[in-house]
Amino acid sequence: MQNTIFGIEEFEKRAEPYKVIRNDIVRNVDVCVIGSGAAGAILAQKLSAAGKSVVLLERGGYYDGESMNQRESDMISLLWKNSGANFTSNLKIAIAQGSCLGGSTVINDAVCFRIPDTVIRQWNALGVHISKEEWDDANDEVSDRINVAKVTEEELNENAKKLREACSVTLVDGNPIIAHHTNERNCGPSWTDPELQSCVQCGFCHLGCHYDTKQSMLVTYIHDAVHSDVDFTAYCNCEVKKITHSNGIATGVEGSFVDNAGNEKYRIQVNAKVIIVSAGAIASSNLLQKSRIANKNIGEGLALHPAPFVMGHFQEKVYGNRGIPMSYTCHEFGVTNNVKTGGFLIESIFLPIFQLALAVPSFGVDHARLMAEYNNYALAGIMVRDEPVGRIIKTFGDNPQVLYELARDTLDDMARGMSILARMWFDIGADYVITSHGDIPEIRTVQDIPKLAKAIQNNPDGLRVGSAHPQGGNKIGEDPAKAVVNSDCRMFGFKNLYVCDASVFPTALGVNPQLTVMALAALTANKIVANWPSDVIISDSLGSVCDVSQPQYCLTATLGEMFAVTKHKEELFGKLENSQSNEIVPDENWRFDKDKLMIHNNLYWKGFYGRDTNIMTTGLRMFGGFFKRFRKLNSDSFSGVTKPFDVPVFAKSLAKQKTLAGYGTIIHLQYEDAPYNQAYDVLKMIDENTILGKAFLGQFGRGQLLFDFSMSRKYHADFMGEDDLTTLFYSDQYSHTPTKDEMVGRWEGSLVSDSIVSPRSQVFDFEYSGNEEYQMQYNFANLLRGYSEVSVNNDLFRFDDYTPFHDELRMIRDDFVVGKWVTDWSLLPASQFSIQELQNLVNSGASQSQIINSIYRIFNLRVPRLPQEIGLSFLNVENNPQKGSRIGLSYILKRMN
Amino acid sequence: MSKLFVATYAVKGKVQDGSKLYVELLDNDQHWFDDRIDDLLGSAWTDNSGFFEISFDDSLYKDNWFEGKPELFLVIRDNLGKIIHKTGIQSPSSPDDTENITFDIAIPDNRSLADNNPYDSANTSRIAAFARIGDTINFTENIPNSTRLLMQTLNAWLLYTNETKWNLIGYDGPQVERYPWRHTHSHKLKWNNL
Ligand SMILES: Cc1cc2nc3c(=O)[nH]c(=O)nc-3n(C[C@H](O)[C@H](O)[C@H](O)COP(=O)(O)OP(=O)(O)OC[C@H]3O[C@@H](n4cnc5c(N)ncnc54)[C@H](O)[C@@H]3O)c2cc1C
Repeated sequence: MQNTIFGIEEFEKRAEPYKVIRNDIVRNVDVCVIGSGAAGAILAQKLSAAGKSVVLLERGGYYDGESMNQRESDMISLLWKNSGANFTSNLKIAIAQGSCLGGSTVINDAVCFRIPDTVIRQWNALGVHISKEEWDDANDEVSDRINVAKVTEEELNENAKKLREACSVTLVDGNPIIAHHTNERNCGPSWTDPELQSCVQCGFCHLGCHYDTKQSMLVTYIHDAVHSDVDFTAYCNCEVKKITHSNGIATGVEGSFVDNAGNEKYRIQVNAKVIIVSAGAIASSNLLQKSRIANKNIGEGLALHPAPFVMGHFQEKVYGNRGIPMSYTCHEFGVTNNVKTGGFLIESIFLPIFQLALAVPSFGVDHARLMAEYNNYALAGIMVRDEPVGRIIKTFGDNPQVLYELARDTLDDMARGMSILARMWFDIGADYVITSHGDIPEIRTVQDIPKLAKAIQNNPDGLRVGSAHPQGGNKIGEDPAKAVVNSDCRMFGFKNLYVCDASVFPTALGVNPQLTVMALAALTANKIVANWPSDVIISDSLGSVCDVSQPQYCLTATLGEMFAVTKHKEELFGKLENSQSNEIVPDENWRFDKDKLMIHNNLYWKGFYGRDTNIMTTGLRMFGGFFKRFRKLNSDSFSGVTKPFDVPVFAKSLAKQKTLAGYGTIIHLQYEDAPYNQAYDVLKMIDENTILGKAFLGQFGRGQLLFDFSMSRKYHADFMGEDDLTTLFYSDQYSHTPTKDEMVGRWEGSLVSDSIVSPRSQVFDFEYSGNEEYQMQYNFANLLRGYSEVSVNNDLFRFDDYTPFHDELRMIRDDFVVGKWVTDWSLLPASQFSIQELQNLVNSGASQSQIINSIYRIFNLRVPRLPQEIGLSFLNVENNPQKGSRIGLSYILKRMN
Repeated sequence: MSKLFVATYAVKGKVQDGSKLYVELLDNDQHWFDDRIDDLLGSAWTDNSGFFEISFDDSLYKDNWFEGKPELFLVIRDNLGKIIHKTGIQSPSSPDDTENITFDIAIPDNRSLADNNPYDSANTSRIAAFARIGDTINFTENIPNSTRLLMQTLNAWLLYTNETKWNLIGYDGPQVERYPWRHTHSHKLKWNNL
């Protein structure tokens, strides 16, 4: 069997079978693996080889060797996470990670170290119950497939030889350096070019291997899985947004296919028995945080292996770019030489010219002068085994923010390592040395070396440091109170959710991590098979992907496509009718399913447009919301009315079943009164609660298509309107006044209008502060932040800010709340304003900005302007028997943690 | 309309494609391929061998007295409704020739992707990346440092991705063409021949 790699990029030719995605996808499989790097690829392949159907989701694209053209300007953007623009929040450390099919293994230097014995013992004590024998077996297994072999003497380039020479002549504190040797690497025969049996030594490892000799995950495990007999699919350009779960079972994965600008094109829902997060350090923690997984350790304990460098300038040409960039290492000061805490490796490395230009910390003429000597440098890095002091937090925009400050000990290691290396270059004849500290980019004599250590101590910010090995954030441990996953990489509190990648390392490894990540993945795959959760039932959720049964989630184009090939169900025509009442009557014409958060509303058919984000459709969605209501007229027709929510229009219509050439039987909706009688709709009933429609202008059967739409009597609470919210809000059956404790946590809010539920507009934090004082903090669209005072009394959960408005909340579920930001007219100077005045203003056709300006003026609001999208259609006017007339905004809150 | 004036046409054809497809017959009606105009004359699913037949009468397209004979084309959709092909136009040889309109459709296997390459979108990726980091960094925490970083990045980008600069420095540069797959090329390194 030949499996397929899917993506959204349209390519001329790919080495593996490749297809372009043109629609949303739902997959039900045994295993869903998120991330195709060192861990994800091995887990996917091994589980597939064990007979499980596997879907592998990868954020980056599929680029084959032929498309890796050795140009930094092309390849960094395509293969590196965030096009290489990836930093700690303080911008002090650049973090390199891969984001493409094969993950960081596609852009790494192919150096392979086994997990050091010291680390095995340290991790054992921290709850990683993997014995040395188990590590050895797994390392053997993986090394065999990726062809790990020692770099030969012929393969050592001049840059590496310089480091070797330096190691053999330099004395440190009077002692020779003993522990230094050539590296092992994963290179081997190219599957695409039979003439190539091993590394071509081009030096472009960071830009992917054009020759397919680097045995990255792309050309080994993923290649194997694609050409296996078991159902395996890799989806590229697919960013997983969320893992859904309930009661300790991970049920599904929601992802978006995104283009290069990061815009969503299509969606995917994968329902699986086992879900594995292998998105790499930082991204894995971010995904868990986004997925509302309550474990406060997620994101804690990030280590980076921060690495400054020192270059020696030589009279003779070194041509460091020619040949294998990383083939020699000095282990003397590192964990591989039994250094128990901290320590560092001195690793030979060379960089293509743009990356080197980024690393050299000078500017202008100086920079140009230093770069002109590119061919005369020998370069090595100091890779420090840092303490896991970093944290990953989620931003308002759901992105990961990396908080990391270099610890004192780490800086000391850097200072020592850089000083030793500077000395080493001088010892073998360098005429000057370049450092990665901005205050002292050049050292001209051995006597000046101590200045470097001083500069690091006095101004650590001046160091230009890179990291290619983020680790931790979801650490393994025994105690759920202190760790995120157990020794099997299974998430605490879950039966079928695993996290397996560099993020589970409980401390920095101290050596380049890829082989250890791979070995851990191999071990974990075996454990997953051994503990297969046979009793977990694969969910049948469609999530938020487009389907004919939930057209609210479809793109406009897809609505049209579905319309073309889906038959109208004639037998359902009789059920077109809506409730006789003009008001929501709970349990009669309106029901709510708390478990599924589904609203059944037969007051009318609520209209929906495509989910497209272009201006036209967004405008329709935001302000063009409508409903249609039908009443039976006689045996073969219904009288109808179409009502746009935000405009005082009631367009009368007549609905009849007819046959239309090319369409078969359809419902023809003819508008009766001018000017609407120029238009007609063609409707197809898909099921009792779903209609697909097309609106035309002109003569029936020959009209001009205006737009595609859908209508439903059953929709998720994410599509609720103001009536739905108000019904939930005032119903004791569906909601209650929450207690302070119930609200503790972080909530994301979306504004509700009749037309649309907005994207995230606010974040609320409810918590008890240190002195047990209850606090509520709001962040409105990242523009307005502050604290509100919460009071819970008289069956009212209320909080007040400094405007004449206040908030009231009602809880539907422990993770779902409805709220209103309202004002009591009684609290306002009576003379100034009334509902009537507002209504007059609205009805006079005043522009949105006029109305909003008036509201600001009338209410004397001195708060910053609300964002644009919170326009008129979100303004909620409520006439409530208990509370009187109120004006404000309505919103829903979803628990984030 | 009296029967005398109504002609019924039959359009037949075969789509050479393994899967079951949906065929729509449209009248061109001066709006070449503009499917916003509802000129659908008929539709049918292909059978297992790819055959289909659609009949229609001329009342459907004769909405103007001057429209003599239909100008027909087909839109082929897959089972999800995605348009996978549109044919060229065919007309009956004469208004009386109602039976012989036949389409033989071979759906092109691969759309022509000859001009597509992954690098075109690299610039979009970069711009989006810079927009995105705004959310994850505190640019203002140390403005001199941040500005320096930005300037150095720009400087490196402008100068050192540039071939002229490489030549000046004597940097070997890439060892393959920019679009390697378009050329037969050697996997030998240039410096090994020096
Ligand atoms: C430039 C560089 C050089 C290196 N050199 C070496 C070396 O020589 N030796 C060594 O041992 N190690 C090296 N490393 C490190 C090594 O490659 C990594 O430690 C290792 O690959 C980590 O494996 P991982 O599975 O944790 O993550 P990765 O290999 O980084 O894979 C994670 C994948 O998950 C994807 N992903 C992230 N988020 C999502 C999401 N939401 N949805 C879907 N997919 C997602 C990413 O796009 C990525 O492809 C290097 C790294 C870099 C960047």
